[in-house]
Amino acid sequence: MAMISRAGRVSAAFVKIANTLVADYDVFDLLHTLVDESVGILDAAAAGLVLVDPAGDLQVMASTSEESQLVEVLQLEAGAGPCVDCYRTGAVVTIDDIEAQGSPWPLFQSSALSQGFRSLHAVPMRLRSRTIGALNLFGHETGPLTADDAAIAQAFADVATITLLQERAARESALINEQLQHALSSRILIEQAKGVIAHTSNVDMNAAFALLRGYARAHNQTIYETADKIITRKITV
Amino acid sequence: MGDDADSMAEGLDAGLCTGFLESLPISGAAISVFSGLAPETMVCASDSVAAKVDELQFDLGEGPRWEALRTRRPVLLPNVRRGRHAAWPVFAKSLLELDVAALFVFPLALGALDIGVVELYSSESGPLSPAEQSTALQLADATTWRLLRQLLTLVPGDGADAPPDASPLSRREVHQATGMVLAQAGTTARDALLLMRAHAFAHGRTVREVARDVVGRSLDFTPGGG
Repeated sequence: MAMISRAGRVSAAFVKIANTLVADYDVFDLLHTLVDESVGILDAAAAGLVLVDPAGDLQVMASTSEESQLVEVLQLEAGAGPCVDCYRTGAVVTIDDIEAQGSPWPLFQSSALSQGFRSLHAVPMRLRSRTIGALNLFGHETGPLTADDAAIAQAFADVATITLLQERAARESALINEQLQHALSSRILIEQAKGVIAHTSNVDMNAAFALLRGYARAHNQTIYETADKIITRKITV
Repeated sequence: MGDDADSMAEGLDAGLCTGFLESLPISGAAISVFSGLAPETMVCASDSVAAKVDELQFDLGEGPRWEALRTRRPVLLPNVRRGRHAAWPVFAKSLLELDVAALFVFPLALGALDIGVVELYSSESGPLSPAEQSTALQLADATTWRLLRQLLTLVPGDGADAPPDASPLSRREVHQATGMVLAQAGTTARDALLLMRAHAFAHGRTVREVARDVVGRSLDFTPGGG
């Protein structure tokens, strides 16, 4: 197997993402591509993008596994945890060793350790002075990200921000809120559609999402459009 | 069922109307939510006129609130006393007896889930500016999320004293379960959530616990089935 340089992989990932961003793009498909690529390139065990909903709770917008365990680690610490700290402070939060340094957040600590995660690198999704969410990278090994990896992680987080907020919104704060809330609401519709597929096709949530995404791609629709049709029973995946 | 419905609504935040009144040039606001056992419950009304506007439409089964719910779009009536309202003639006539000149209705919905409706009225006619509409939409969204969180964490019968939900489950599981029940019972997302709430109430459990059983496939809402 030919060795592809890491710089090559990084630029290939960004070219792939940039190509998707040109035309009408599917936000959720792109966000999933983004977390998948970030795990591959940064050698992470898992990754998840979170936004904060208007009630102040973290909502996972995209994650490398749709199974509930990873989502739980990301979401259960609403109000107290490194992902929340990253969002609140707008600064990178690095936990080199969750076992040694995670005690301020006991729920997060035990949940992360039980999933085999030993380290966390949380990168803020920032738009000028405002933070809209965070990209969380979990590692199976202890230790910090290298400076290069941290820079790449921030670039991924920045692309995620651009993906969620269109250019016009970036200038008007009211539009930012509308687009973020639309994204959050859309994610709920996707969860509901996953439930429909899980029942009708008798598969787990991970497979249900894969079916949903596959159908959307094959039919040139967004994941959201497909989810809406599934819920209103216009189509069966 | 009336008492049950009241107790279900007890834990909901009656102060939700205040935000709309403080931020928008309106005279009053009312918020209704589909809370579970009863078809719906009024969470708050800032005055008797606001309450009347909601009740009239609910009792008559016609009016802009139903249009907002059906279309999941706001219905903006800056001059509601004028013009013919062919879709809701009786409510239009009843409105003339109230001090209502403008009516703005916003659906409270998330995904395919209808949570409720907020109705704003003004005794003076005139439209909301684009900025005010945007503010109203944001407030409606924030209200929807708060209501959803409150609805999902309420322990039936315990009202406002319910302990915070310590379950490590994500609300994601509730949405997934909603989809599964929707498919099982052949119903809408809203009715699926109501089915789970009714089940939770009857068994003294939280919606999250019921959702976990549904996703874990130990509970099934298929009619006549397991």
